[in-house]
Formats: sequence, structure tokens, C-alpha cells
Amino acid sequence: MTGSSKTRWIIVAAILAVGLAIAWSARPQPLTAAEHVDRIAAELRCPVCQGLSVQDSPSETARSMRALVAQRVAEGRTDDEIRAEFQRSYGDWILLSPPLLSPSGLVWLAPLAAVAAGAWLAWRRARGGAPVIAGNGPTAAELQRLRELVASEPE
Amino acid sequence: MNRIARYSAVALIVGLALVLTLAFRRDPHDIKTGTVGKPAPAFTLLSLADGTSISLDQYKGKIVILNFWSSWCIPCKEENPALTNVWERYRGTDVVLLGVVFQDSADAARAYTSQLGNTWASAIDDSGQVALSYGVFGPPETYFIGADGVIAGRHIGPIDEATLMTGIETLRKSAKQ
Amino acid sequence: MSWADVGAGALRAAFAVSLWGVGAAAYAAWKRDARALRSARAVAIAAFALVLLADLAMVGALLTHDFSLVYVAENNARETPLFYSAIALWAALAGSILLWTLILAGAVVYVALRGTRSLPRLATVALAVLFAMLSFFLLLVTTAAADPFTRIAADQVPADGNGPNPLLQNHPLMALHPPLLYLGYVLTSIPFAYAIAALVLGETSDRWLTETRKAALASWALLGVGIVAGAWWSYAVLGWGGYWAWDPVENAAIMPWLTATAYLHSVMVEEKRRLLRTWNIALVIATFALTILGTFLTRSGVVNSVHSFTQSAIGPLLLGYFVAILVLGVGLLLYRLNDLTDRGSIGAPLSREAIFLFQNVLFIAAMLTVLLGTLYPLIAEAVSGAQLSIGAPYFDRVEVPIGLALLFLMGLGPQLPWHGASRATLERQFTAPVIAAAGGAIVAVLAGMTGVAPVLTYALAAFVTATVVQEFTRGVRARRTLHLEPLMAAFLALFRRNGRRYGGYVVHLGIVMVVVAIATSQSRTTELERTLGPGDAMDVAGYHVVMTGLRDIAEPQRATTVADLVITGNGASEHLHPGLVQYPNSAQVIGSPGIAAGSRDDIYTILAAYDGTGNAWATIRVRVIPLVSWLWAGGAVVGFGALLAALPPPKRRTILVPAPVADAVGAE
Repeated sequence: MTGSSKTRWIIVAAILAVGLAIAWSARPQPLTAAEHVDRIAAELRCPVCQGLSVQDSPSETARSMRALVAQRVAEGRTDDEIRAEFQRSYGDWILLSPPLLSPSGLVWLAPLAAVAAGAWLAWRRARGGAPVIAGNGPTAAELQRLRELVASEPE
Repeated sequence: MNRIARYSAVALIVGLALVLTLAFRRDPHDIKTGTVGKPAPAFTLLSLADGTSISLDQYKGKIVILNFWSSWCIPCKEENPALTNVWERYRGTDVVLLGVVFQDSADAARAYTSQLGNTWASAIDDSGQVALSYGVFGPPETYFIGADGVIAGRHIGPIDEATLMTGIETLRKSAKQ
Repeated sequence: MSWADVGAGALRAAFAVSLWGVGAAAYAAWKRDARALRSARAVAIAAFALVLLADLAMVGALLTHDFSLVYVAENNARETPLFYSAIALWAALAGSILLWTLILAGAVVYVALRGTRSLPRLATVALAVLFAMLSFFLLLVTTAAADPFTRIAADQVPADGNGPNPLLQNHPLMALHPPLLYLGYVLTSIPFAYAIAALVLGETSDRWLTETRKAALASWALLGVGIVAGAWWSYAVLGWGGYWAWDPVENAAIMPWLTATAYLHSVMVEEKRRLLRTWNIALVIATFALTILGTFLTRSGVVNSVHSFTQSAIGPLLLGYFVAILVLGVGLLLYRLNDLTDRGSIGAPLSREAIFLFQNVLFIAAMLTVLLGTLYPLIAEAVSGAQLSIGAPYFDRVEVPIGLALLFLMGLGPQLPWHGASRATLERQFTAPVIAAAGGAIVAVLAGMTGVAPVLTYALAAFVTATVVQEFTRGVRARRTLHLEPLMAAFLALFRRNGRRYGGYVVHLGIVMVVVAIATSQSRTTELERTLGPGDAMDVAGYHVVMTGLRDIAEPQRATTVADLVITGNGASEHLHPGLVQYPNSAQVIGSPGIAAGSRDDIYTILAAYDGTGNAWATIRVRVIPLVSWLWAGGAVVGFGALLAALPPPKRRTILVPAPVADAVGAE
């Protein structure tokens, strides 16, 4: 069927285009200083807010923290050094997400494990499917169900 | 399969109940992390009264009570008499009371100290960086720094005379030993 | 007689009446006693009337500024405007629980009058369960835990009250957001009560499920719309230019919504294929339990920030209630596990039911992530004493990939037939959507979007939209050939004939709008902060912002300082007045942003600081946030789609299908 193979090529090309667009959008780009400050500020917790980050909070405290981050970035400190400075004053509490390589790194792995385990279970159930229609033909109940199916679907 | 479901369901309920019960006993206002037990961060700031420079170094060997305040903060006004009273009691001894004004304008702060008749010195932390280095959440907060230059304690919120005196006397005792 | 006498008296009477209701309904179900059932029905109405009376008494006390009540003194002041006085009913804990109780009493009446007629035995047991819940809430509002009518000693009654929390009297959305959420929360108890009833009676048919379909859909939709309204409120009031912060209060609302969404889909597998029965009951129990867990977490002061000061004796009671619900629900489910074993099996991995299954896995993982992130700081502190935070960076990084995967499945699932798909079907269904996805990705790149997540979001949004459009065109075309209907009539007939399916597609379109709004506003916001004197200007993202001056506005209940801004550019001409508001009885200064909403950009301005002595300068923060208004519109579309999905289906004509045709339909 040539028509079908043509559609197949269109689908492949379209998927390729999506992939290319994503690859293009993910190309490494140099950060401006302001973006660099934003990135660090987004990871720091505003001490006087309800769980807002320093980047998001309009509070006075967050403003001075942003200013300090900007100053440290201008001085050429690394992200780790800047984070460590705030950790010295406020403890791990000041970071809005625990580092991957820490006892609390578990919180990063848990969702991954949940998705993997759930997907595995679901996949096993979907694969374990018995033949759809038994050899004896449909039972009365199945027939009823099919009638409903037909009645409820306009197509 | 059913047995696994049973056990994991029971374990999940018990675990969740346990965590929540434990969590319930916790006081969300009790922030343990911070600079207590560590050397007090050094700083040099300008005096609010006359613009001379004040640094923590010049009080080496003394007990320093560092009080962070702002003129717009209502609890600061509440605790101010206690601070002044305690200062009058210890004036000229090995105890220093130093205020640090932050998140405030110098004019407003000066009006505040003269209105309340503060006899103790304050320094102005314009950028708020000293407050950040001590891990201050908001005014008022009071830090007890021992003669060894280590932060021995911290009080969040308005402080009273008794707490100040207990803190100072504990530091004096440990300094003598 | 004072308001307090009326209210407290009514609640106590309601408590007694509600306990009677538990007994009457249980007895009626056990003995199949019609008189007991009649009594339970009468008692349901009485309980509702009494709770309504108590709620009205509280509103009366608020409107007349009766400061002899602690609740009124703390949440109302003489200067509070009428509107905010009335809605102060849900401005604090005790009043919120009172409103909650009223809604729950309404649910009891609904089941007592409607439910017990269509499914007498099952609904009567469910009624007993609901009466027990109502009794628990009435216990809360009649004891120290959350008594809204606690009085102040006669000689200490203040002349004026504190007024509501400033954040709660700043915006009319406050009237909408909490009641919507509470309605959503409370309605989850109806499916729960029926599920418990089915388990108690060993009822293995899925009649409970069809019976509670509307309640489940309504609770889901109200939760969803309530969450969006909350996001809008936080955007318009909190003044940081965002709408979602993964705050524990927000997390508490999103968790039951996630499991409810999973349920709405997996329930179709049960209806069509009689599969996943245990799973569906588990989801109903989880959804209801999560509403209680969320209330416990946010109302007991366990996960609050340093600067909030509400503590209440309600914590242990809610915790006990939560554990009791879990033990009852999970215990019964495990007890009946063998009766509920599925006999059929899920189709191939590329069948509609398998996609529902994968979708459920992702929704549950998303919910568990929110739960873990919310509870982990508590766990860590309980175990090791360490204090740490989990916030937006964690949730964003985990939930965004899950959300994108769900978006993909949202396009995939509805296009796949039950049981499994052939290659030809796949090509027929997905050629156009995949081309659309490529178009979406290219549009995103041309618009200058950077980062994988936003571009992928655009691609998937286009993918889903194309599948929905394809469904509608095919449906309309089929009707036009079969019934010779004109275009518009055919379109409307789709909703009338199968509102559930096509309403569901409208919901999907609403979700696409929400997702596009989130991706665009999160990745393309421009922000600039400048300190300006009167007459100075700044330029942000093509907008020219001039500050013409600073003004002080004195109102009886508050003092406001606003900056007057004139904004031009990009075809806009706006006057905005961001301000800082000071309420007399609060040390907190509240930001009141000035927002010019547009279908393309929102211009969001904040007065960050100003010269308090001479109004000589002001620090202005301007955020240009693209497409954020699509978020609120998308929420409305979701709600509208849910309404369409709730349309009653037309009377069924039985179509006799010859067996070969049935086989073919079944296989497709």
C-alpha cells in the first residue's frame, strides 16, 4: 500500500521535526549574570515567607538576599560557594530542594521508583491479556455490553 | 499477591500515622538550624549615632549581646525598655549591648532611638548582609556571643529582662571556668 | 437571646439529631425497616436546617459586629465592609469548619432524599456513614476544637475587633475560592460513603459507581475550579507575580484532585470492561482520605512557616479521624479483596484501557510526590532532627516531566480503541496530530522559547488539540451524513447524545490552555525593578512605564499608598496603581499589585518600597507575564466541560446487534 507508506513517512518526518526542535531548544547557551542570579535565588528559601523562593518573594529580606547573591556572582564565586554561605547562616533549611547526593537524595529517587514500579505492573497486566473474545462466542452479558457500546458511540 | 497487598497496606497506614503523630509534637516555630555554636561572623558597620565605624573585633574578650531591630517593627518597641534597663545595669562591665538596625532608613532609626531614649549604641546594616550572615529571620532577634567569640544562644521575637539576664549570667559563669 | 445562644444551641441540637441519624440509618439498613428510614430522612432535613441556622447566626453575628464572640472579635472590625464581614464566615478555622459542616449536612440530605430512592439498601448504609461524618464535624464545632461560638467574658468584650486577616479582605475572589474548594472536598465523601456501603454489604456490582458518578464529577470539577480560583487569588493578592508556590495549603488541595482525576478515567474501564474494581474503590478511599489529610496538615499547624501563628486543638481529632477512615476503608477493602478479583483482562499496551492504566500510574506517582515532598521535612526532623525544606525546585523538577507524560497520554488515550489497536488505526488516528505536534514545536522555537519543557509542552499541546479537533470533525461529519443535520445542529447534538465523551474533550482543551499558560508564563516572563522619582520612566519588554506620582489614600479600615503608573506601548494604554496597604490592627504591610490583564500579556506592577517621608521616590517592580490569563480561562473551560459531561444522557434505544457485528465492534 503506497498510501500507507507515505503516511508513515510523514509521521516519521513530523516526529523528527519535534525532536530537532527540542534538541535546538536544549542547546547550551551562556547564562547572563542576571539569569545566573535568578537561578541561585530560585533555589533559596525566603526566610520570612510561606515557602516562597528568594527569587519570587517581594519581601525586604529576599531583596537583600538577592543583592548578596548578585554581589557574590559578580565577585566570581561558584554556585556551591554561594549556597554554602547561606547554609552556614541558615542551615540546610535555606535550600528549597535537598541535594541529590545526600541522605535526603532519596526524595528524588522515590518518584522515579514509583513511576517505574507502577509502569512495570501496568505493563505486565496489559501484556498478560487473554485473547479478547473467547472461543465460545460472546455470552449474554458481553452482548449486552457490546450493545451499550454501540449505542453510546456515535461513530 | 493479596498477602503482599495486605501487609503493605497495614505498613503504610501505621507508617503514616506514626510520622504524623511524631510531626504533631513538633513546634513549627522552633528553627534549630543556624549559627548557634559557631564563631560569630565578623562585621564592620557604621554607628547610627555618629557614623564612626564599629566592628565586632573591638569587643574581643567581652560578652556581646547583639540585638537586631527596625524602627517599623512593633515587637522591637515592646522589648526596647528591657534592653535599656539591662544595659544600664551592665554598663561599663565586660558586657556590651550592641544594636544592629536593618531593613530601615537611618533617619527613621535615629528618630526611633532618640524618641525611646536609647543609651546603648546601634550600628546600621544598610545592605542587610550582617543580618543574613547571622541567619536572622526578621526583627527583633537577639544573639548572645560569649567571651570566646562563639554564639552561645539566640532569641527570636521580643525578649524580656529575665531572659537577657539569664543569658548574660550563664555566659559570665562559663567564661570564669 | 444572642447570636451565640442561637448558634451554639442549634449546633448541639444538630449533634444529637445527627447521632440519631447514624442509628436510624444503620437500623433501617440492617432490618430493612421502612419506618427507621423515614426517620433518618426526617432527621437529615432537621440536621441541615439546624446547621444552616448556626451558619446564619454566625453571619448575623459578623454583620452586627457582635464582639462578645471570640471569632467575631478576631476576624471582624466595625470598619470591615459588609461584604467582607459576611464572607469572614470562612476567614478562619472555626468558621471554615462551620461552613464545611453545612455542606456536609447538604450532602446528607441529598443522599437521604435522592439516593435512598434509587438504591435503597446501599444508600441507607451510605447515609449512616455520612451521618457519622457529620457527627464528627458537629463534635468539632461544639467542643473547644473549633467552636465558632466561644464567648468572651462579659467584662472583657472589646469595643472593636481585629478585622479579618488583611490578605483575606483584599480581593473579592475570597468569596469564591474557599467555598468552591470546601464543596469539592465535601462531595468526595459521597462516593466514599457509597464505596464503604458496597464493601459492607459485599455488593460486587458497580451500581454504587454509576450512582455516584455525578457526585464524583462534581467534586472533581469544583476542586479543580477552586484550585484555579485560588491560584488567581494568590496572583491578584499576594503580589509576587506568581500563582502557584507548592505551599502546603496548595499541595493539600491538589492531592485529592490528582487521585480524583485518576478515578474519573479508570472508572470508565470498570464501566466498559468491569475491570479494576479494587483499584477504583482504593482511589475513592484515597481521594476522600487525602481531603482529610490535607485539612489536618494545613489546619493543625504542623507544616506552617515560621511566621504564622495559628495553633488549634483540632489537630489530634483530625488525625484520629484520618486514621479511622484509612483503617475502615482499607480494612474493608482487604476483607472483600477476593470478591473483587477481576475476571477479564486489560487489552494490549496500545489499547484505551491500558493507556488509562498508565495514566493512573502517573497520576498516583504525581500525588505521591506531592505527599512525599510535603511530609518529608516532617519525616526528616522526626528521624534525625535535621530541618530542611522542600519547595518549588523539587516539585517543578519532578512534576513537570510527569505532567508532560500525562499530556502525551491525554492525546493518545481517547484515540485508541478498547482492547487494542491495529497499525491502520494508529495511522488513521495519529497522522494529523503528529503533524500538529511538529507545528507546535516549530512555533515554540520561532517564538524564542528555550528549554526542553516549554517546547515539548507546545508540541504536546498541539498534539492533544489536534486529536480533539479530529474527534469533533469526525463526530460532526458522521452526524451530518447519517442524520443530514446542519453543521451547528450536528455539533450541539454531539454534546446532547454523548455529553460525557465530548464534554470530556472540552475539559481536555481547558487543560491544554492551562498547560500552555503555565509553560509560557513560567518561561517567558520579563521582570525589571527600578527606583523612580515622579516623572521618571522605565522600559520593560516593549512597554514604557512612567511613574506620575505617589499618593496616600485614607479609608476607614485601611491606609494605602499607591504609585500612579501610566503604561504605553505594544498597543496598550493603561493606568495602574500598585500600592502598599496598612491595616490598623496588623503589623503586616500588604502589597496590592496593579495588574493590566490582557489576552496576550499581563502587566503586573508592584510597589516594592517608597519614600515614607516625602513621597520623593518609589521602587517599582514590573513583570510582563505572557498568556497568564489563559490559565483562568482554561480553568473556566474545564468547569464548563465538566458541566457538559454531567448532561443527562438521552434515553437509550436498544439496538439489536447481530453477533458478527458485535465481534467486530469489540475487536476494534
